[in-house]
Amino acid sequence: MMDALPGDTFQPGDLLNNTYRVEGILGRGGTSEVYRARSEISGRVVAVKALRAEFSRNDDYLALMTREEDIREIRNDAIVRYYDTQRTDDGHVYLVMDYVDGPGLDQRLKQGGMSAEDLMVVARRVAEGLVAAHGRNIVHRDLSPDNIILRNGNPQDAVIIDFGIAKDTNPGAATIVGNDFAGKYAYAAPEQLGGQTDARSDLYALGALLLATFRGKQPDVGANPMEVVTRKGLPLDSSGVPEPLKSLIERLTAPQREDRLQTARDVLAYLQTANLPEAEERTVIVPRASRPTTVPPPPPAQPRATPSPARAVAGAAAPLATEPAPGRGKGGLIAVALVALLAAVGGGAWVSGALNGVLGPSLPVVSPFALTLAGGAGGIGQAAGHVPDQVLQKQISGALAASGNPAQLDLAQGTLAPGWTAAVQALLAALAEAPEWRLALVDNSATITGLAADRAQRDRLLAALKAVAGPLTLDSDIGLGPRLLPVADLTPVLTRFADCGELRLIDPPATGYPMGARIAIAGNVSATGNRVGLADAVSAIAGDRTVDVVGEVFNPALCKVDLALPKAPPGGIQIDFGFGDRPESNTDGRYFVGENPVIDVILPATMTDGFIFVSALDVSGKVFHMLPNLLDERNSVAELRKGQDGPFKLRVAWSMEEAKDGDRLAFQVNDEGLGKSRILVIHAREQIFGGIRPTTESAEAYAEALRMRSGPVDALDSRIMTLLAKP
Amino acid sequence: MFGHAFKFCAAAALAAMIGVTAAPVLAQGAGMTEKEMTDALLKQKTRGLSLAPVAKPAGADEGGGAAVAAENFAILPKEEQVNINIRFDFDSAALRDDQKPKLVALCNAVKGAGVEKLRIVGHTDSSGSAAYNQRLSLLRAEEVRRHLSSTCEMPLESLEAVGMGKDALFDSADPRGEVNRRVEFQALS
Repeated sequence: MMDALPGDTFQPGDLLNNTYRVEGILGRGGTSEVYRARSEISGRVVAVKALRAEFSRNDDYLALMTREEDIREIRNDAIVRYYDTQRTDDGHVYLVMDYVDGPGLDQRLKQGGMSAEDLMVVARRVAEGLVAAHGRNIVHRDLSPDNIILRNGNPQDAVIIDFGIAKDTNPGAATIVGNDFAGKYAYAAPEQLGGQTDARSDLYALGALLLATFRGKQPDVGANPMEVVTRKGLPLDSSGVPEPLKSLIERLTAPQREDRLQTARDVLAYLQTANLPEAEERTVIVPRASRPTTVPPPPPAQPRATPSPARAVAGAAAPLATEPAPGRGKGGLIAVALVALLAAVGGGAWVSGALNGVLGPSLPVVSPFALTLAGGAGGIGQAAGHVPDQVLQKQISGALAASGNPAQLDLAQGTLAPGWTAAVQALLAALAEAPEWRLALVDNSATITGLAADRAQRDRLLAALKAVAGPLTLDSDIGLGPRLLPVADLTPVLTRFADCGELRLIDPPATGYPMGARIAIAGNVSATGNRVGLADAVSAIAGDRTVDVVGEVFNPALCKVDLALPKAPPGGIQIDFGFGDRPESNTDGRYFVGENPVIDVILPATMTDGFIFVSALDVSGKVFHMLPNLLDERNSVAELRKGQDGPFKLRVAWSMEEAKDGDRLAFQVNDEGLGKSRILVIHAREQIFGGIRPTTESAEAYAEALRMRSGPVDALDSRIMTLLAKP
Repeated sequence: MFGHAFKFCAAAALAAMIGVTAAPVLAQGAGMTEKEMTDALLKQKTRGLSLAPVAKPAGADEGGGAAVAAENFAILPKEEQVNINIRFDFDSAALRDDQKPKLVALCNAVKGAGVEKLRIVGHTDSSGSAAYNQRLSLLRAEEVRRHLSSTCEMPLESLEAVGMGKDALFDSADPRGEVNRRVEFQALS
């Protein structure tokens, strides 16, 4: 078994449907993974074929998976047994099938081959299975040594596995080609090159695999596409093969399907008449269901691309093939099949005009010509679709190799503009910078979606992509990442712009900000420019997140005070604004020149002792101490309250009328310092300034006094007063 | 903003003080030219400030650190003082914008005389308690020190701020007069 990977659908130990305990992974394919599991009810070892998560919610794939499940209808010992299709609570779909333990014919082939006698046994056994399958209108389409398993090593117990027929249907992944594809297609019938497959194709494949397994050598199907097509049109070389295997192979592998044994049942009959040693031991097993001798046309195209199920051997995942159905043949599907073949045979840059009978070399024409690539962080993580030449194919496959994912690239030609390959290469080079990207090419249009780490990178990417797109019609949509913005990334920015007291994030998510989130920043800055700069700097790394700076812009003098202010919680002291000439409250704190602000502070009921300090900080850098000051030195809460319970209202700035005797403080707004002033109320347990401050001093002096304060500050409340020119 | 904006309305005692922006009371002080200031500073430098410190415990009984600074400096004869009438509003230690040009002149004089260490002595008028005035006078000196440091490129260490409170009235005949609310400068080296 292979090692489990974190991305696998299931992990060893997982319990499926309360029945199947996953023991390990057997193989991974383009759309599915195959696990070995054990039924905790029956103890039976099963193979579980799980559709990859990304396909499990795709109806097309589910339909295909269901078709594979149709094999369940077939009860034949020569065909792997399918039990069930299940869906997990989280939506993963999987098939449960028999686990066949034993070597594949491919192993025997690699070990030097098998005897003709054993192969005759295998032939009969496989033919039995094909009778059953074809009787259900199911053509395997991809018979090859590696999907015939000798259960427990016994030829008479050969089992055909992998009737997988799920195949990617999106254009970008029209075919999925595994590493051993080339070897497998060596057994394809000539008509399959043209996209025509029926039961007789399986018979051809059977003959071809018998021959190869006898020789212990994969068929040489040619060094280039022309050769492949040519050789497929010729009888296989069976020289040196002993009878009756030789004749059997020849009857199975006639290039023209009309010349072959026409049905699997015919094969059984042929084997019965042949004077075979095994035939005496084993009477012909007649399938349970008697079927017409002619196999109806196979079901609609269900090319397949799945890992072999139930392989105890061979580490290779995903034997792959592509198989258009007759009747859908002419167009892309034929081409796809040929593409697959060409890729499979894997020669040089050979091309084939076989379909047209044209001798001039050409790759199969596909329409649309589609290639989908995805990756990030400098690498390619997924690749599927068509490539016009081997250079690009190798380049992409090479880049993809690091990801561990299989390349799914087929050589083909489409109506591609000159410079197509160069443009794609350049796009890939440009995308290397992007942390996440997907490039979907359909003919000459390129659709790019992705994520940039920041705005600057996005701009760079968009510009670079546009610059190199060449003949391609480009549609780029690069989102702004990162997917998750850690709070720690914002901290240095906040620190850098914190020139007026602390800047902090409001309710930052513990795990970081997801995309689309709002980043709220609280705190003050000393100038509008800084506020804009802060917002810009955060936005620069925040991607598409909204940035809100919730705070005031203060002048530098106020900020000096702000920086010197102790970090203390609000004390619940309310600051009320009114007017000296009318009994109105000024709820928005805006005053015009000439007005006479009246200021009350309301101590909460719970504040019954300690001392309060009420000051106004203006934009010119002056601080006015309203309490205590020369006019009123009493700032002891207990003394002020004189035993009064409840919220306690205290006027600190009076109306002109109230102040006319000169023993109270009154303000009148003039036009010398318009802007935002800040009313600040400090509550402390003791006097903190070593005596009253002068009624007026500079912000610097006050900041110095705050720094030198003699005791702790319990609470800090403030409110902004905005002074405006006359409306 | 509040201004002068910050206006003590009609408080009789205060209004009298604040409203005054009258002409210089003294020939010295605001009236000193830059040249005169330079000469005076040079003279201070050469005499070495050898006078014994004048004990100035006023306000030391209350008001903390501000008063301590008052103990270790000399009161120069009036004719040797470099008194600049940097006016302050009543009960204010904030430097008024209209007073800042005088400090520019002083800066030039200090540079011209090669003064390396300058003492800034703050004074108040006679209203208010001794302790409060002590603190206020020191705050005024410190304000000027901060200003000189930033505008005259003098390191803070070369500037010493002391507060004399109301104990060295410039015009004892008018103890509450604005002329007393001033800072004085002494060249120490």
